[in-house]
Amino acid sequence: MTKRKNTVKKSQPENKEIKVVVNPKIYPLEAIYGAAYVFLDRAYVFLDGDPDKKIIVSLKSKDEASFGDSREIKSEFLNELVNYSLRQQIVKRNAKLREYIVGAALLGASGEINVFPVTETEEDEDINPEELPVVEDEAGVAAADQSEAWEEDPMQIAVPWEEKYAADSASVSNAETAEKKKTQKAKK
Amino acid sequence: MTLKSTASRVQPGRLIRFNKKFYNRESVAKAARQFKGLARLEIDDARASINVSVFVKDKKPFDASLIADEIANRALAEMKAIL
Repeated sequence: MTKRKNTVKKSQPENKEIKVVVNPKIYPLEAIYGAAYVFLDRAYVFLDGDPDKKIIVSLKSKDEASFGDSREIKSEFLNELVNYSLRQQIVKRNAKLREYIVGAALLGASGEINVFPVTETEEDEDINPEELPVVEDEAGVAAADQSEAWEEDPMQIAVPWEEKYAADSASVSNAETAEKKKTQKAKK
Repeated sequence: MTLKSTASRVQPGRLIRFNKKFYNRESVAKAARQFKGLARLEIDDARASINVSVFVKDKKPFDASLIADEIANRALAEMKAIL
């Protein structure tokens, strides 16, 4: 008896799907979006449920090979949830400070208002003013910097070309005139 | 002599329901617009969800379910960008 060839096509293996139920009272919705976003390259992510009671996150594999073990994926997703929840907390906690820094930077850039005024404290009174470093005005500091820079020029890069080669060019021109005179005498 | 039918056969479509509490209409529409060349898409704005029906004609390289999943991913990415 001859074996019949199986003509039925093998059905393609369906993509793995994991469902993770998240408690929105523990993890904020922003954290769930953030964690889901991390998996967009590896899985098809779909959100469903009730954002007040329970959120169902479906992760369907795009490619079996890159998707890996379903338990691992679930664990990774839960880790990302914790990660994004913490980030969210930090963002909330530092919101005012961040706003202040950005505001101060913008106002400071305009140059009209001193956004970081120096407040006098009791400790400041004990400081001897002679010990403090002398601060010149901006023009004076710039001039001093320039002169220092000109002084430290061992290769004479900053010296103008005319000054540097003035002596050489004078001696060359004298030699040329002497030669010309000699040739004129010889012709005569 | 029999003539070959030139009418394209429409494959069964796929319906995907986007919960309005997680997805907004603009994000879903923007995501769906990117796939309009690959399938026939119908967007229905229901009370609690935005329903997207995906119908793929014959000789198209991708099936309806794949396109639906891709739309869901794009919609999620849009939502993340908004927040």
